[in-house]
Amino acid sequence: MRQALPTLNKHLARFAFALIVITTAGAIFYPFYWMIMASLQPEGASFARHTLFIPAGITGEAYINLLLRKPMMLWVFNTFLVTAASTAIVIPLALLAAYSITRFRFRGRTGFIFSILLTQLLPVTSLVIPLFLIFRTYKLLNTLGGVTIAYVTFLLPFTIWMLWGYLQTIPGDFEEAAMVDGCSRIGAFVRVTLPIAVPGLTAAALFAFLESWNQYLLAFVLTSSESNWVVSLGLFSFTSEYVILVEQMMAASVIASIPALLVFVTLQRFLRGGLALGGLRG
Amino acid sequence: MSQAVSLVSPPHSHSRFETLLSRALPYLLLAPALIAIGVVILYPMVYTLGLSFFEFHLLRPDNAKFIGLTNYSNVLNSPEFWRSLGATVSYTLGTVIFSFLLGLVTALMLNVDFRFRGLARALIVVPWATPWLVTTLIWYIMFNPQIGPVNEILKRAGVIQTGVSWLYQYGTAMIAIVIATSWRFFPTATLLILAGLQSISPELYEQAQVDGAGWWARFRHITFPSLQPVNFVVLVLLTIQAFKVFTFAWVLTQGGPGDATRVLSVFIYEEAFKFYRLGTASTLATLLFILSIGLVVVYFRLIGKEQGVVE
Repeated sequence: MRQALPTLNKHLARFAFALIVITTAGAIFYPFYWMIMASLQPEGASFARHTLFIPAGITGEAYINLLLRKPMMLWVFNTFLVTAASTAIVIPLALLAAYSITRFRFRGRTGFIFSILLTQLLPVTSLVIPLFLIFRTYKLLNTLGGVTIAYVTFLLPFTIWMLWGYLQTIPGDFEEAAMVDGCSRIGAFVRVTLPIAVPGLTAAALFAFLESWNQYLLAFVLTSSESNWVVSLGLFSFTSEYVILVEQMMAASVIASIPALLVFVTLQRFLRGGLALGGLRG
Repeated sequence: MSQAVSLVSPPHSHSRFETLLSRALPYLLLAPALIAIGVVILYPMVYTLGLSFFEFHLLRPDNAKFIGLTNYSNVLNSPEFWRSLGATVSYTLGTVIFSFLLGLVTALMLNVDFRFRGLARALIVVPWATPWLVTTLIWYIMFNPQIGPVNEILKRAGVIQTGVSWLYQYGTAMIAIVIATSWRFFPTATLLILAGLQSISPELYEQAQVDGAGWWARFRHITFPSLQPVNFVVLVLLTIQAFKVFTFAWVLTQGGPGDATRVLSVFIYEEAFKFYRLGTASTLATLLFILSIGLVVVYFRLIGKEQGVVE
């Protein structure tokens, strides 16, 4: 009898806990679930609005109409292009800079780190006005090249910050051992540290990808014609239409989410320790 | 032959070159990034600062006029600016508090060992992996008065009788964008707090168990105090983030209704690209940047030391 009561309590507690976990996880995941379900509804039949939990029927209609009606794949392609180009520019620059502040103590180091932190937290809104005017002068408005340069502004400080965090976890002893064996400083870096840093570089590149994929304001101000849009602009165009085609809008959202989710799944194993901090940027 | 060799690398000058090189090396490595930062960040920043002293209309660039601090006094004397700052503060506070609480609750849950923990963890991180524009579109539909599931669910639950225009009326618009933003922000808080929870020594709990402390007592006296450093980092980072967000307020409400959700970043955008007043917009941007610096200084002072930034 004295034993039975705590056991019952324990069961009750477990049940209550399970209930809370399921409710919370459900509430959090629900909007995402709803997006997928709505994208699979027949168009115009307003099934989507009545689909709260269980869909009435499943069809790929919205996807087909979306791909026929909007240059969705072109936008996805543009985003890939801009992202790849800006990441390719940023990674080598950031790697060298991060290596410098990790391995050397020199005058101006703290100042540099502070300014990196400062620029990383700089609101995009305060850069977009001068970028617009400068790009207008150099005829970079409404070009993918211009968007690429603009993306470097927020990717570079962020990538330096991330790689700095990563390189700190690699002990300098290996390099010193290589230098004792006759390697030059550069040689030691290339042959010893670089191979160890590959996971960090990969993570940084993937984060850069996510950041670019999310970026909206810069592309919004700096490009005008539909053929130069990135995916976030394409998505935004749905809200300004008179009739909201919910199913197509959600289908476009699903398509736009897939690359980001794939990158994210790849990133999962890097998301421990210092790298998680970098991910807090949006 | 031997003379040539000694000319190319005489021992003492070689070592001098080496020391010079090794002294310059950190700067050489930094140079490419510094040049890029100078061109794409520093130059635009200085440009904004300069523009903030001018009357400059986008469609009449030749009529630009230096007017000193007039833009600043105009902005600081306009009720619009203060209302926008007020909206920014409520938006930031709402988002930080809501995201933090959600993050804390979910982290506490994920810290318990249960069968589907891996799955729950993956699901909770989904909002973080969702692209921003997708997040805003989802919530745009969620809150839609005609077709949105939020109204539908509340109606079926009997909470409301008629649909609420969440995004289009005073009071609810701010709540709606805070909910949408928090949905995007909280998983980062979850992960950081979870890492903090996992670093608390189990011995503390064992001791408390022996002393007969209940769940709440353990939370109040062990868990929460041990989380203080992590909590602090999370709160500051969330604050800095929420402070400058443009996308949510812009896509969901375009700053409306009226100026209910016109946060500073939206205000700047409208001033620049809707009214073409680039001078005033630059003034606002500069003020936003100064306020951000204030936040960064706090961040740097309080957690920079821990991360080994300051030596």
